[in-house]
Amino acid sequence: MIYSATFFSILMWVSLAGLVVDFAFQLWYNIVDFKNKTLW
Amino acid sequence: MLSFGSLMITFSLVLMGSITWLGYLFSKRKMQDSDSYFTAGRDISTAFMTATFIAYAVGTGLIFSPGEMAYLEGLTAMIGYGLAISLSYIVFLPVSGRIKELIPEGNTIGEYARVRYGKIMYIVVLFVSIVYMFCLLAANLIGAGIAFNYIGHVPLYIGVLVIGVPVIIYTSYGGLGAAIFTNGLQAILITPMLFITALLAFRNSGGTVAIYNGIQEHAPDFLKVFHPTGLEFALMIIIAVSAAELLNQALWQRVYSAKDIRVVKKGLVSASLMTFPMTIVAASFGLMAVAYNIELPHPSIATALMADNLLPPWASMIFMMIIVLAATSTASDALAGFSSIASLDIIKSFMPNLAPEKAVLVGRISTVVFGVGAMLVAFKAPSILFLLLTADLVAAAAVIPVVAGLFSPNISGNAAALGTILGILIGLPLFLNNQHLLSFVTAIIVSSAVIFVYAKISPARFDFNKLKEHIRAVD
Repeated sequence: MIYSATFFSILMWVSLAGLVVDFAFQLWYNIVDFKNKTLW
Repeated sequence: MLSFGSLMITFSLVLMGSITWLGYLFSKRKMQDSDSYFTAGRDISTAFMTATFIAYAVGTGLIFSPGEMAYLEGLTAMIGYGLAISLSYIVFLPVSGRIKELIPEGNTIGEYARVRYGKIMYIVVLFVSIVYMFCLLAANLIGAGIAFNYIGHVPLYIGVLVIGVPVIIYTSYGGLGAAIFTNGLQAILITPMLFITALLAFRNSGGTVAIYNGIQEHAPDFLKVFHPTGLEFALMIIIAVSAAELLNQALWQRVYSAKDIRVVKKGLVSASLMTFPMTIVAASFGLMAVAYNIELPHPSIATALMADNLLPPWASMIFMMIIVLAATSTASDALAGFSSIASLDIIKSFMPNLAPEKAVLVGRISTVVFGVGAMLVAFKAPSILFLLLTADLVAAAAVIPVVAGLFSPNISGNAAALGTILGILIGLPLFLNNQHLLSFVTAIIVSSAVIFVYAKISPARFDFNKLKEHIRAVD
């Protein structure tokens, strides 16, 4: 059984999109903590 | 006209200078007592906790090793690496809760081992932790060094020094607080930079289908789901990374530094979800090297070399800065972890009445000594993956004895020490004989069998309240 080209493409693009989501969450966590005055 | 190598050094110095300066300013403002040096004031909240878990994982161990493995073993190994990094944080979840509950004023993993198991296991755990952190630090410095060497054509030692010296400066001055604060900066910079460079690399390589076709042409076995060596590696790395993280002083230290257990758990779950795509994207450069049939001058250089081949100079420079940030983030975590162990475990064993201010001084000196030692090893540039796996094997032998002691009162110190030492003695020859998966499984089974059989025959009946009574904050 081999990985298909479609699976490979989906894995790569979903992972790339995951980086955007990662960044958004990091920003959001920082904003929330900053607003709550608990950032540091 | 400045060469690419000179520009790499210039940008790296500016970036590291800025991070060091910010780390210094932050530490100066926030360090109120000696305890802050070792546990960052015990009030870290979600944003920085998540960032520090991400930045810790995204060392050169993530930027280089997954790419190296993808280049050597293919897609299954690459996915296995992503799962390993991600799952290790999930595996650490229940352990972190138990640590926070039993040892709210803790500082190091060593002091837990000493109170829970006594002197022999204390020495064993210190040995394992120090070996692991040393390998981690050296691996990160090597990653940066070979990137400077092969991409910028700069002598390896310059890359190691450009990374090593600033990290030693800000970590020795600010301790764990400086490490976590700079991790916050590093994590938030790395994510978009990795996105931009990977997107460009995919486009310039002809897209994902072209990469797939290239792999099929040059290494069709790498696309097999059950590619034997790839599958073996995937299983091994999941065991190896999970074992290492459970025993990792850097992670234990973050649990102690968190405001509460909710913050730790949110940080771990978030980092677990976030590091998977980061690993896959970083490792995909290794697959691109396969697709392009590139011969590597060093086994760990796949990711950086492909980035340099596929990207325009400005984007290649961004990728080099990712390497600088990744290497420095994990390196500072390893240094902060070691400074606590050196000061609060090793030196305090000989000087039980060491004053808190003196403990900080010892921490600072040990950070410098440890950092210089790792730089000397990094100058020799062994394979990053080999270095990390050797450290992981030692951790695998100790992980069950150490972690089980948090949950079961019946495991004794003698059994834990015996199990760990036997696990290392039996696992290491197998590892050196290239039977990697077998070596990890054997080390874990042997150590587990010893402690559980011993607990059945002679239960220790440890009183967990002793942990709270004997383990206190530095001040």
